[in-house]
Amino acid sequence: MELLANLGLGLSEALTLANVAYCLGGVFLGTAIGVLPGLGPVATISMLLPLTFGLEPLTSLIMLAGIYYGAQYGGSTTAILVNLPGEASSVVTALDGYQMARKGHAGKALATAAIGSFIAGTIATLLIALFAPPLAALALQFGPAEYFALMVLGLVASVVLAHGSLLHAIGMIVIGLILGLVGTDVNSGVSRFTFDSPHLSDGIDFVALAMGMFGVAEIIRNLEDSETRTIMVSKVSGLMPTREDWKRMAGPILRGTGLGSLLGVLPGGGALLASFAAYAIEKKISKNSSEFGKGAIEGVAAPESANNAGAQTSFIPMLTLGIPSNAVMALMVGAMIVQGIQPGPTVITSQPGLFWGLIASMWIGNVFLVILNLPLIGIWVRMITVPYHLLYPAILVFCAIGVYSVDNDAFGILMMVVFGLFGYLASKVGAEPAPMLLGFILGPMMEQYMRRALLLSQGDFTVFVSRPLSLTLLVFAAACLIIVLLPALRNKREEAFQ
Amino acid sequence: MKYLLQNPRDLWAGLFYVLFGSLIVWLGSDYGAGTARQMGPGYFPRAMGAILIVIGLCAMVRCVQRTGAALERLALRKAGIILGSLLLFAILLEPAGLVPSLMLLIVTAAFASPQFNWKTALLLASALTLFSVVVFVFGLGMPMSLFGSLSVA
Repeated sequence: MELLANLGLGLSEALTLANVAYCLGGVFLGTAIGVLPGLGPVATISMLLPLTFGLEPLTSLIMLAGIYYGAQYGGSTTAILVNLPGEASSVVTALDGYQMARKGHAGKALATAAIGSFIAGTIATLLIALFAPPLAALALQFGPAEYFALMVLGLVASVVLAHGSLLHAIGMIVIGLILGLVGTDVNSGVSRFTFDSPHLSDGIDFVALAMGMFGVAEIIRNLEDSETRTIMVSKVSGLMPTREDWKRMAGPILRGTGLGSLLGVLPGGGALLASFAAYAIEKKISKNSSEFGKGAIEGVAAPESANNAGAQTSFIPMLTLGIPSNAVMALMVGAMIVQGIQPGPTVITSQPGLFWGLIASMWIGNVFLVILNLPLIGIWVRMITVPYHLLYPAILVFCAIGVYSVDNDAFGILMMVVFGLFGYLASKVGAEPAPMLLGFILGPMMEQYMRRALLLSQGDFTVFVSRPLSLTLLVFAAACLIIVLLPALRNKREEAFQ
Repeated sequence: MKYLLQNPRDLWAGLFYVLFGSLIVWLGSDYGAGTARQMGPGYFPRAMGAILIVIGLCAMVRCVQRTGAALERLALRKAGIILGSLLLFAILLEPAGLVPSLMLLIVTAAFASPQFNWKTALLLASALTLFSVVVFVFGLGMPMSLFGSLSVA
């Protein structure tokens, strides 16, 4: 019954006044900003990251996690009310959710989303509690070669499961890896690629990079489309689902949770893939499949549960192995490093309070989501209608001040501008920014592991394929690549992400 | 030549990868590459740079093989305004302090939108600046001077 003891520890850590307050604050801010047009979870988290640096490690992680699923829920809210998904994983929710809203069932759709997310979150939290310790224990047996192979697998898989051109995704990863190396090399003390600038001796500030690529670049893109969208928001009333609705919801929620939990652990998967898959599967097996696309409640319950479960379980690789599986987790890793915590399998054993506290707080955050959001619908609705031309200068202000506050150095703003331009140009060419962030965070780590592995093997490269675990991981990575490159499956993949 | 132009996205991207990769390989030669057994500081970066060059070449080869989507139009004016406003902020923040820099940032950035009008922009700038000062400087205690060296009598 170690599980109960651990959860107990976690709750005691998470239920301090400060942590509860910051959890609530995170969920609230996350939802508020997630609701705003043009700001997804990654941009939201990057913007609010600097605020968390002054907090205690556990508190800052709790707040960031709260922001994450708050922003997800905010995105679902806009998807349902306005057919404008706040972020990618809400696209599917919009399909049926918006139709429900048009029929006057907006309240029910929102309630379904909240309930589904809550149940999914609860179950997912339990799954994390169950599976994380054994996984971490397994990972402790990894040597540097295995870690290197795992990171390669993580990067490759994240590309395979994501949309966009494979070649450009790999290109962006490599660019990210290189940029991650800028600064003083830990091993030799040599300053690399710093052009003798003292600002760069600690490397490129990842907050500046993230805000530039995800915040500033996004703003420029949004401004290109210069028509004003008049946003028609449907009236929201009648929140509670009927008994009939509950019966219809139950299956999709459970299936969505299961699917989401599984897919969330995969690199690159997380919430997005989970919601698409859950919707597709639910549509196939549902008795009411003809209603899908016209306002089927299952069409909201399944993807919402899946994407929340996926979001939570995507913490698992990050917390146990130290490997981020998507851009949001990469930001979390960055935040942990800033707080002085090296993510990896030792976190569970050396910082049990942190680990279990974070997990417990995820559940608490889910509670807040449900309690908070249903009454506050009115506020969210009003926020959706904020015109973008008033919003984006505010975003720029927060980004600029945020980046500056990291080091009290205006150089960070300059970096943000550079990456803003780069992110914008990259998007024009069809390259996604998320792989670059992953590469940036993993770059220095990969180099370390490779170096150590080669040191131990006396320079023998076959160490990566002679050790069985490492070989298995690399084979998986190769298999992923091959799967993607096979023409038949390539078309399926492109279809899936239309 | 005509072949190269039928896939502009891949062409530009490929070119960038090749150039950036080459730059890294070249810069990396200053840092000892060491051997596989003892990786020097230049080893990993140059390897990555080399991989990037290969990727760039693949992209450029792909240009010849198939047509791709055209480059979308670049909104250079809007990009320039946004990025320029941030640069102005960065330059002015320390000498002039938070308040003037923020006002300038917001008003300049607002230019990029077709919905710009002076009254709204100035109102927005004032409101946001006030909010930022209250929340960031007084609330969160960030060490930013409000008027910089302008406040020195």
